[in-house]
Amino acid sequence: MARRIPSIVAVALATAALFVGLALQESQHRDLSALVSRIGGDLFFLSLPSHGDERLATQDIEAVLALPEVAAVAGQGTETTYYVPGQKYVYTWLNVTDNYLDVYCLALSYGRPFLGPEERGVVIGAEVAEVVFGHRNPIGETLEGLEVIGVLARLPEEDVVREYLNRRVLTLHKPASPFPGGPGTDGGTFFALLIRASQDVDAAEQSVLAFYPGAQILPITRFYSLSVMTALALNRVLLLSSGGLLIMSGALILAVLSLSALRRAREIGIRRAVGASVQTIQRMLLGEAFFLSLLGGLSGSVLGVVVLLVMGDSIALSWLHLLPVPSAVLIGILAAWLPACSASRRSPASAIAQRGLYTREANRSRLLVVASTLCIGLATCALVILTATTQIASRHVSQEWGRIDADLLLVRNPRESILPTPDLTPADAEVIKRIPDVVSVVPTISYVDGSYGSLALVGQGFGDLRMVEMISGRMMDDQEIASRQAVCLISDRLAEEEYGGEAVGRQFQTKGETFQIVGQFARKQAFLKDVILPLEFRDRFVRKDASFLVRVASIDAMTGVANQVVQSFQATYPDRGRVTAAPANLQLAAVADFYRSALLRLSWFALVAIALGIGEISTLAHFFLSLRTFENGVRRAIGAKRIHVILRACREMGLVFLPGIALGTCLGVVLLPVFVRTLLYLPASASLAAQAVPPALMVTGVGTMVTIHATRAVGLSPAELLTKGRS
Amino acid sequence: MIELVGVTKTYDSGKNRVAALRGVDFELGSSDYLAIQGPSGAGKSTLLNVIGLLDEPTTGSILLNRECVSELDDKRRSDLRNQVFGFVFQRFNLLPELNAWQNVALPGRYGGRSRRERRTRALELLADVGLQDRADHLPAELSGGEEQRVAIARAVFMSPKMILADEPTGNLDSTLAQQILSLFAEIHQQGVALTIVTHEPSVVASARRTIHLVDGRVVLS
Repeated sequence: MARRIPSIVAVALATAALFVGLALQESQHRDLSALVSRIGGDLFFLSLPSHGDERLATQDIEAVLALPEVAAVAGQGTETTYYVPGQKYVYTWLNVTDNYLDVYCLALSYGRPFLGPEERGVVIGAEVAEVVFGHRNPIGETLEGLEVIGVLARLPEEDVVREYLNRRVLTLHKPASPFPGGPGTDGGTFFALLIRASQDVDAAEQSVLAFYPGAQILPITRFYSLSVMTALALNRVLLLSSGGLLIMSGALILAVLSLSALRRAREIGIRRAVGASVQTIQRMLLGEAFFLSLLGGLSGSVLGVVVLLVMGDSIALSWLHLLPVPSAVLIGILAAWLPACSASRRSPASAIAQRGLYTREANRSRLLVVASTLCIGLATCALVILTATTQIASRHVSQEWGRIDADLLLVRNPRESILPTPDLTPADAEVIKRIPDVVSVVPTISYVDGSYGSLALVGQGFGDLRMVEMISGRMMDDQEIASRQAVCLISDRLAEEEYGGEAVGRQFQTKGETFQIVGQFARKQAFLKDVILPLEFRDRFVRKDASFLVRVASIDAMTGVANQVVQSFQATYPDRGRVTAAPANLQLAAVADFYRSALLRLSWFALVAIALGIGEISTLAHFFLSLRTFENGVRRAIGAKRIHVILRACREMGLVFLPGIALGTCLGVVLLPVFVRTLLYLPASASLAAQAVPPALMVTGVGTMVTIHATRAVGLSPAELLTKGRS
Repeated sequence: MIELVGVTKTYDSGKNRVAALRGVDFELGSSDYLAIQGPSGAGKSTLLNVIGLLDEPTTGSILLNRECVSELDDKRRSDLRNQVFGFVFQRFNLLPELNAWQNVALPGRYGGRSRRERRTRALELLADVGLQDRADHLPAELSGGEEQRVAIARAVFMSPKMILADEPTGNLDSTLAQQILSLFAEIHQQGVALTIVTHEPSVVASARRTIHLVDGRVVLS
């Protein structure tokens, strides 16, 4: 049993690496699914051109649902805003189809969803429950004569796409309005369809557009496309890493068990000499391989769980985790098959006389060297691709997202208020500035221009917020903003579309005013605008929205400041609706956290893979050198010094391993661009260092492990070496 | 019992072909005690391997009780090695991870004996060779003479018709060698044929018959 321990340990290490790899991949996949689901990564809205009277009917839902690219469709009809005078609160009735919750992936905190065409039941948003009913669970109570059957789970306020559902009352088929301002009857027609793509959102959009030429598509992912693309790319890197670990694990198990079976040729010869048949020997070797790989696989799975606990990553188990042990057993049996066949078919006399593989000739057998070279080559190749893609993905994330401010608070006006003068004005900044822990307040007004996309008018201090990343030119200064100078910033996208590239120094015209372009910024998720103008020009525009960006002294004070902002506005303007105050970049921070955890997992992958690679080399070196014990004993007996034996071992092991490392490096460098382009959709530009690290580590590992093994091997006296070698 | 007819054996060693046996013809009776002598490289061990079905002849035939066994399939040859022949090697060739009684009982495992039978028989045989108190010792814990006695016990475990020994005393001093020869003599008295490859005069003296091998040919019988 003791002789089998190195093989069991090697199989256990490989299985543990595979187990950890699968777990990390599963965690990543789970996080990605949560992210995509949260931001509606596979959803889009379809509406017919607004200038016509066309509406979408139930038949349209059925027709769209029949498209193969579409997974689910829900209808969305009339919106009617309703004011509750007692609470000075506004909520909105919304006609939907009964599957709306499922398609939108909306969870309920209380009650149940619609179970069919229920005319007398409503599902209400969390805020409606709290404000209108004064508690969170008004199931069974009535709202304007209709029974509350469900309460939506509160959607986070930073989820700007869906958080309005906190203030919605969902109804299926409202009869004639029972109250002033209530929803009318849609008669089974809808303004928009909410569509969930079955696989590819783009393909689904194209398919639906072909069905409804001229219709408008609003992909929910538009604002988060970069997040999803990068997240998918990172997921593919991790998937690739799992594949690499699988190859390395398989190669290690294959090499170890093959050598283990080959080195027993003499024992097999003896067994054959005393009467064992070929089939008996094959059954014995395959049975042992089964036992060894099963034991190693089970131990490796336990080790994998321990490693995951040490890493602190949540263990996301799935059916994939049933794979490592059967894989180890299967590879183990395959590994033992060929040696078992060849060893058992050798004549017993030659097997006994040659002392198995304890001979120089056998050590140099072409098969053994080629197999080892291929194993090392595959491992090196996987490592080169893994480290390089890790670097590429890491660099892409850092370049794409830059620094993300988590201490910015976004205060928005009561957007759905039906009261007059809902907009926030620059003077309202004084309300916020009085709150402790507020560092600076910058008013912003958004305006959607039909020609140029989204404009933002910003107040003094905007440059200090670092909301945008300047590409060329400069930021507008506070003096220019305050003195109404006609300067502006434009996005790189608009510059490309309107000016064909660099636009600094050129002029931008809108609303009869000509602005001098002083800077160009990167349009990114943190601030999805195309033009930034001084706030003093707000009288030229019909304001769509108004908000303040507030920098808070510390991230810990965010919640307190947000609550105080809401209370201060309510106290100052008792007749207005409720302002909302939520972290401006929490969504981005969450996405960044996702990236950070993904990159951390990648680093773990790389560490595990490198450790496995060195372990693989170490194990192979151990086997190779153990075959030379008798020879080393003879050399020492006839006068060779220890250093001679060690150097000789290093040289010979180098001749076996270095070609494999060189082959793997070349293969990795050649395959890397293909992998990065096809799997990551990123430009392949890993640094030379990232590609050189794995082979350098492998060479260092080879040198170190071979030296250690050789030193240990010659630590015995020549007589002991001879005895050990013979046995 | 065994008849060799025109047996040759050639080994391929890279570009070279080495003829170990060049047409050997002779007979072995069921009560023979044969010593095979010859200089190093004469083909003695090869001849022993061919007789004991450890190796196949390149040409020629081996007849066992007038049945040609050189072309039997592996299963039948394995059975013959298990039932008819017992082997004793110069270097003992005990399995290092098995203790003494397990090594002795190894042929029984392939001969269909139960574990209880194997253990009982192995302990009896170890007692016969004076090693009853060493039954649970590993080969590494035994002396050379003890290892060879274990190897002899293993060879007779299945009550073979013939023992084939390749320089069984080559690694032993004269006292131990004498003990081993005594054991062989006892085995022969029980009706088992013995074929021993040897260089040693004492072994030759104890044999009933001797053949000399030179360059793969029998030159003196």
